[in-house]
Amino acid sequence: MTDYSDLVKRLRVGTTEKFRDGSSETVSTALEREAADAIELLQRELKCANELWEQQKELALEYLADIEKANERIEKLERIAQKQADNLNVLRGSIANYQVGVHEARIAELEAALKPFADCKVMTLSDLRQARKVLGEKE
Amino acid sequence: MSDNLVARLREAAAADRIKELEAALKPFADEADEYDGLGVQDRDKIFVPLAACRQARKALGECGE
Repeated sequence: MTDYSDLVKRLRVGTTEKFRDGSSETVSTALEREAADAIELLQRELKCANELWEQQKELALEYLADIEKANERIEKLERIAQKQADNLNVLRGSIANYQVGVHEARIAELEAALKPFADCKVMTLSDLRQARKVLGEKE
Repeated sequence: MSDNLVARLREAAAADRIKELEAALKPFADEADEYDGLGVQDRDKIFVPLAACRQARKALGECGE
């Protein structure tokens, strides 16, 4: 940032004015004083703006670091979720396979109970009761 | 096709098969209910509806109808 303090100082001292008796004195005009005030004010405002800019830049860097951390965390969670989904899928397959086994046993039981009726041999009440039992109804 | 999907399809097919067999067996269980009230003994020979027998054969994949 350019330093204008020297210019301000010179403006405050003013320009040399020569008098009739030959003497001279440095006096600043109202316009020079106003210019010096304005430059000082602008210089201060510029300094504040620069400080603010630096603060904002630091904040932005902090935010960026936070976002980067959050993204890493999201990626990690996504990997975990994917792994869990894979595990769940495998578990569902295992459960389905187990269910198939249970169903197959039940099918064999039902087929065995149905077989005498399909053969149309002479039936007794106990055969009918067996059918009822296999269906889970009263014996 | 994934193993998981195959297993689930097999499971669904097996569940359908159970329903089919239970439906074929049901008329005989109902017959048992009817004979129970008639004082029929366990070893007495009884009449079984022919249609239900045919349905049983069909459900078992034998020459049915």
